Amino acid sequence: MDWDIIQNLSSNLVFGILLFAMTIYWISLSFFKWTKNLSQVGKISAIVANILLFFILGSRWIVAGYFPLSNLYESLLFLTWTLLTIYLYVEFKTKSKLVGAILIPVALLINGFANLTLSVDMQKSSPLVPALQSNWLMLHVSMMMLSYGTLIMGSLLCILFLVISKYQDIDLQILDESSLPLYNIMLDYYEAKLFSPSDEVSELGKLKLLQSLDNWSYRIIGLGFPFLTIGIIAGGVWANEAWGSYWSWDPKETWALITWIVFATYLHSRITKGWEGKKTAILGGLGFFVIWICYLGVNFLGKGLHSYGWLS
Amino acid sequence: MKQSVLRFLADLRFAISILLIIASCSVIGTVIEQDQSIEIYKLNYPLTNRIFGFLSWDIILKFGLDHVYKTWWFLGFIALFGLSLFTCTILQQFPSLKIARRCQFFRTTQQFGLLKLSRNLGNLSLSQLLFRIKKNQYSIFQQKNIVYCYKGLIGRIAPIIVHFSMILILIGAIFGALNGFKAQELIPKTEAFHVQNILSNGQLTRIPKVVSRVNDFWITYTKQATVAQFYSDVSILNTEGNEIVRKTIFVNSPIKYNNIDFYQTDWNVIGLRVQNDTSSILQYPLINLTNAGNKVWVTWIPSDSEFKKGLTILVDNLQGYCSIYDESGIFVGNLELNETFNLNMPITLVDILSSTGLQIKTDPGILLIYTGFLFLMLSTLISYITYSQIWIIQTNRQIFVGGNTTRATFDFEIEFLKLIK
Repeated sequence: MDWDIIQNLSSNLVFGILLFAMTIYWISLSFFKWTKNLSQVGKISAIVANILLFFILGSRWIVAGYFPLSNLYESLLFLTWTLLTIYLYVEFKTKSKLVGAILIPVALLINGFANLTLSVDMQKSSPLVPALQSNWLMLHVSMMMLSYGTLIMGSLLCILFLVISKYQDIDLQILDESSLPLYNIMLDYYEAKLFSPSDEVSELGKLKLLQSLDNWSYRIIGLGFPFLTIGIIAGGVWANEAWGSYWSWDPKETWALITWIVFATYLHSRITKGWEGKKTAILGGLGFFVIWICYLGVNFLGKGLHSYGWLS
Repeated sequence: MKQSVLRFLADLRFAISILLIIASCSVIGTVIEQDQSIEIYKLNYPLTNRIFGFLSWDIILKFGLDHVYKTWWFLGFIALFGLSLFTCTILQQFPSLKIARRCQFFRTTQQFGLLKLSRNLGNLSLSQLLFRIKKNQYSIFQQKNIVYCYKGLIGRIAPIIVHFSMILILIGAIFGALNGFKAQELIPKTEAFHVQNILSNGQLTRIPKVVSRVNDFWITYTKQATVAQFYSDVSILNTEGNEIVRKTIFVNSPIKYNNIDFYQTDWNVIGLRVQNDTSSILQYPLINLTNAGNKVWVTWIPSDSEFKKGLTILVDNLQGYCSIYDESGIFVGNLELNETFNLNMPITLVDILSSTGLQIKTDPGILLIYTGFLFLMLSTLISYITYSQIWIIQTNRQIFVGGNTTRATFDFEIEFLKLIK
């Protein structure tokens, strides 16, 4: 069998699995009974999708002989893989089904975009153009994708925060006077909601959930930010080695800088007094859109050094 | 007065606003094409039918929106940001570090009320508790019955290094802009050259008088006939014309001599050498007709003395052949090097003359910038580490224990609860 066919088949399989996992997660969120097992199923299928994606990228690496991040299709697959990996890690840490329920749809969309809208020609791996023949490709692109994945995750949690708080100002300080058990906070919220429908507990549970969302988005963005920094710097050093200028205000570069500034602002606003919760979440949520402009939107302009060679 | 100006500059909200302003101004430069000729702006942004009702070419030129990143106001914002960064580091970060380095014991139990996380323990002995804290890699300081523990102090220091690295990068960029230059040369192969076509140079730059020679230029192709790599064989010559250094450069592998870097960036085909029936070799110039960046060159070889008839020749690669078209524009065949083609008269393709496009630059700021890059990468990563503190007071019956952390409040809660369980 041809490698192309195998890769294509597994890529489509990933799409199917992700669709299944998303349905499972949403069902388990809507019905609270026997959800433990159900979300386990979702998690396992996400792991399978993750392994398949790893297989696709690995085999492309071996067959083509270079790091599989040379065109849009491959970078979309890599982003899906990164997102799934991060989500599995975060879910393992927080034990919350919410993370999967919001992240798998995004992964599904990216994967669907890669498989359904890109032409077969654009899915093929083609020889690297001279400018890309460098070891910096691996560091620069993988770091950028890793940061996109992490930052998308973190900013989605910000958006989730805004949705759950219904865009109201939330005083997270109230919690510090309360005496609920602190650990396994996200799960507690649902259990509280399930077993005791009294308003007071579930309100407190909601606050707990919001507080942990707040902190988790902060931590994840805090991790994505250094990745973004390293990715941009690696790109700068590479550009200086390739054509003698570490910064040339190319649209992609500029948008990467804008992304960097937005998240730098987010991280700094956290240490400003009274900027927890809603205000920072708005900044983080804004970051979500900026990342997408940086990653795909800039390519619609069709100029600059970073065009993936599509739409032309 | 002076103090308050500095305080204002160092204020976080001020820095954040400057950053957001820089970000929004940068967006303009990605929407409006930069560094184009006035005609292009006149064409795309006419005075009638203004975009959004106000944007037209005269406004673009007036505010310098055709070169946003070089305008005085954009550079001014960056300078303001650099200033704010510097004052913030000096006025706020250093003092806070001094406080952090001090060993802060809690001496009264009331102080625990200020912490988000505190407990009274009755079931655990102090030594047990300290043993657990030690196992979690905390540094512990004890004075009789009061204890102070911390870990991750480096997570407190790293942000300061982040700021310093950024200041270093800004200084390096300014230094490089003042003392460096950038030039582009298109050099026919086998010719010697010195730096002439300067794109940008700083106020303090002295252009080096270095002479170099392009010994050869060639392109390798993949099986799919796409370009695999461009190569230029470049020599640096001394004043007597003798070779000092020689290297075959290609994209991603420049030659560096005496802080001058030569990069492979472009290429061009300038002419064909053709032998006709009288055995004389004639050279025909090739010109690039498309300005869409397509690499296609064309020339015309007359076949009669009145220049009425002839062949059109197209070259779009350096694989060693050209394509021949007759008067009516019909493709008649490819002609390879040293091959003879005979339609009305025999012609032999002797040579395809090419030139290589080199970018030449010096940047004295690059060392500063790379140092800044290195420290910035490391310190942003280290900044992720959370700085946690735990205070303990042992009274007659009870142990008061409390703690806080800078970043990972969620993880710290879990760690704290495991410690006191």
